[in-house]
Amino acid sequence: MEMSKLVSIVFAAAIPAVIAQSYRVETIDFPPHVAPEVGGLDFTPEGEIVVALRRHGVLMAMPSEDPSAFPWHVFAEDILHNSCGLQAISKNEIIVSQMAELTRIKDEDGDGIADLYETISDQWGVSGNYHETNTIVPHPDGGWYIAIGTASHNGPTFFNTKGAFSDMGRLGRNFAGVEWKGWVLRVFEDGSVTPFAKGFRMHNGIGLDSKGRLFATDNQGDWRGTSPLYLVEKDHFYGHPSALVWDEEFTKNVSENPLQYYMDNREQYEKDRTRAVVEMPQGFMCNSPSQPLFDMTEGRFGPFAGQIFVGDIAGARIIRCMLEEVNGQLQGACVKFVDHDLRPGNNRLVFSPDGRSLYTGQTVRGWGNPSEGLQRITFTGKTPFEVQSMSLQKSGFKIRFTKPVDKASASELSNYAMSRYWYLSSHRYGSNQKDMTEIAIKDAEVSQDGLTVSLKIDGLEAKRIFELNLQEGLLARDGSRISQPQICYTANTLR
Amino acid sequence: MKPFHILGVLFLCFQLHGNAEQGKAVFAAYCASCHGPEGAGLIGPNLTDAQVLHGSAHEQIRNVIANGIPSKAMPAWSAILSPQQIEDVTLFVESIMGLNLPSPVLTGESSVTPFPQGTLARPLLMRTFMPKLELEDEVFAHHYTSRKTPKYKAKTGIFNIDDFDLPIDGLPGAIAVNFGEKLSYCFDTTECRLLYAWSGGFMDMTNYWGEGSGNRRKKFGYIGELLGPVSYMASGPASLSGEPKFKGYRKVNSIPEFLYSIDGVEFTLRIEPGEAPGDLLCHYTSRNWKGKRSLQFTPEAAEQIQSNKGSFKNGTLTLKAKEAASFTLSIKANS
Repeated sequence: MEMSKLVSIVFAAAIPAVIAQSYRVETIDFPPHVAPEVGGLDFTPEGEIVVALRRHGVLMAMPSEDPSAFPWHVFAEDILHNSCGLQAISKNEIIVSQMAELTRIKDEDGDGIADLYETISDQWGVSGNYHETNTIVPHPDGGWYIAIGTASHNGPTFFNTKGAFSDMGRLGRNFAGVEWKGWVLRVFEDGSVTPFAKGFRMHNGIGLDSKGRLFATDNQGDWRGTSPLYLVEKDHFYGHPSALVWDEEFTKNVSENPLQYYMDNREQYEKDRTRAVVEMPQGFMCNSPSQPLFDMTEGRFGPFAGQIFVGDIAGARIIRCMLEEVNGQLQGACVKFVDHDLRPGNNRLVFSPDGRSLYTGQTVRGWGNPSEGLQRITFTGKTPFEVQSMSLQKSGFKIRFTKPVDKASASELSNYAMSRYWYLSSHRYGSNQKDMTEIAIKDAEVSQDGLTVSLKIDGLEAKRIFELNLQEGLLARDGSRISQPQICYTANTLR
Repeated sequence: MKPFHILGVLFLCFQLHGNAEQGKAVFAAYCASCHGPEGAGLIGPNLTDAQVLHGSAHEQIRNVIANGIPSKAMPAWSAILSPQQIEDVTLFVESIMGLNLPSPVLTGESSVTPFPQGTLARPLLMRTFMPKLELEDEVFAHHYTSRKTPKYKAKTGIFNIDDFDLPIDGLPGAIAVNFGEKLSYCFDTTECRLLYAWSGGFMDMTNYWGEGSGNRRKKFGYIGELLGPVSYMASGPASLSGEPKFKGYRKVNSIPEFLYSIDGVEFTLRIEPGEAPGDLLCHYTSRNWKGKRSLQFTPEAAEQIQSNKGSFKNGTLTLKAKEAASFTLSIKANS
């Protein structure tokens, strides 16, 4: 082995290559009187970063090279109620979703501090439960999508609720005691709302792709065997029954108690629910996904254009998802993007206007060790050695890498390990990995350019997750080792 | 430490001993709370490193002390200290640079507290779950009620009909405003109504925010607590019947003015402190107030309330459209 190769391998083993060489993580400082529990994050068209905080209103700053010298100034002084959705329209106007309403916040007198807080819409209930968090994304045709999270059995409701209360909706672990919990609504500019999709548990993160399609993550728990990423389509049901108490069609024609109904009718449940396009395995991949952010930087943030970054609140990481169309349906894979080099609490993500940096706004509330603040991940321009994409084939998977692989090591079957399993979606909290099966790799064929490896396998099956673990012996041509060797493909359908 | 630095420090100390000593006293009085008693850092950075953050030359240090670093919450001390004191403390800082004292370990500490506060000139508005106090049911005409429901065990999927989840008291959509010690009040966006007022302090948010920057809510107790005696509490049905619709608020000279409509009448309401602690002045404007309308108050409310317009008899305030266009209710704190 060449000396240079050996050195780089030793180096790669000591420091995660993706962070050390290709991406730099910096911690952005806040003034010491500010607890930076980040609920919302965006950039104004003028290039200022906007941060909605749990206790300190909304701050803005023009980012500086020096992460410790952001010139923070207060835009909204008021303490907003769980401001977890944010759209910055200009340096004078932002939209914030709070517990009880969607609010337009404006600085009308031009002194830099907001003076008008206009209620755009409050057409959903508030039970008094701490868990009912909302988040927004602008609708491509004007107005917004708003994701209305459910309540948790870890907290009570109030005797006096805002909006109608449903006894049936109150049942369950995560519940929809008041209107539109567990739904995505469309909010029009005039404040009127129409229901869009239903059956969510805690979809603390919605995002649009370049075609304007809506995606949502949800959190592992009851009716969530593991944490999903969904393509959200109009009127679809995403598998958490509590929301259906606010669906008149369902309560009239099917059952007044959707929770009990689907506990008793497993087959019907599987027919009725729309499956995730990617399931992110609990624990080693993702614990508590937040916002899915599509990389529209066209390569300025590295080789993952068009893919999706997902923050993890309970983990010190960001996950990367990649999608493809199979039989007219979207499905795909997930892999960790940054692991351990970040703080936990990754709640909101936004790209800087120049596309070189990904900002992650952090907060951990109530459970877990407190973690909060803002960090910035910047692409250094040096291509990392990672799995670029994982694509289902008739006889296995095609793995594309960001750099050409070393042909000898990539042809070695022992450098690949694969397993197959699935997660059960039921009223129980989470799921173990069902029917865990080792999958034999029959062949690994490296393409001429060294960028792709086609794996032939036995045991392809629909509605299964295929977990690929690249082994340490697999090298790039330049000798570097893959920094995130574990990738999980959700095969809802086969080619 | 390099010999050069030792010499430098010795030289400075020798030549300007008296002034650096003075500077030490200034440091203890004004700087130690952030930079630590030894200057080894606390919330502010460690000043005993060989190099300090914003330039280590005499001029640069003096400049930072005089003009501050606003983005990092370092105040501009020229507003408080004399030029001589700034010069002295500059020399003191130079005398401790290079001592390389270890920074105290601080995890998650900051100057954040769970006691938010506004002032008379710049009141603080907070939206959060608020205590219901002893407010009567009639006050909640436009709220719904929740009920006890059978406890559910997700593991077994069984509803326990002998054990229940019980609702608690709290306000789901209220706004709290604090003018410092003199006045705090709670306005509800569902009823579009002033619910209660108090004085003495604002709120202890530890239940919901945790202590300091602790960030841990107390299980099941996530409603903040009022600090100080309640001076007014709404009673009875709303004085103007009809569906209330909250539209937001505007800050006029930093003071919130709520915007809402009831029964087609468009209101603004600006609440300010009155004369004594806990007193309130409620300035209303209205549009589309047709003819003569009556506002009904309970006997206990009527005892506390006066109006500068219209006639107020037996708990009924009657206002003509012209009077209702702009009127003020003054509320005296109950004893």
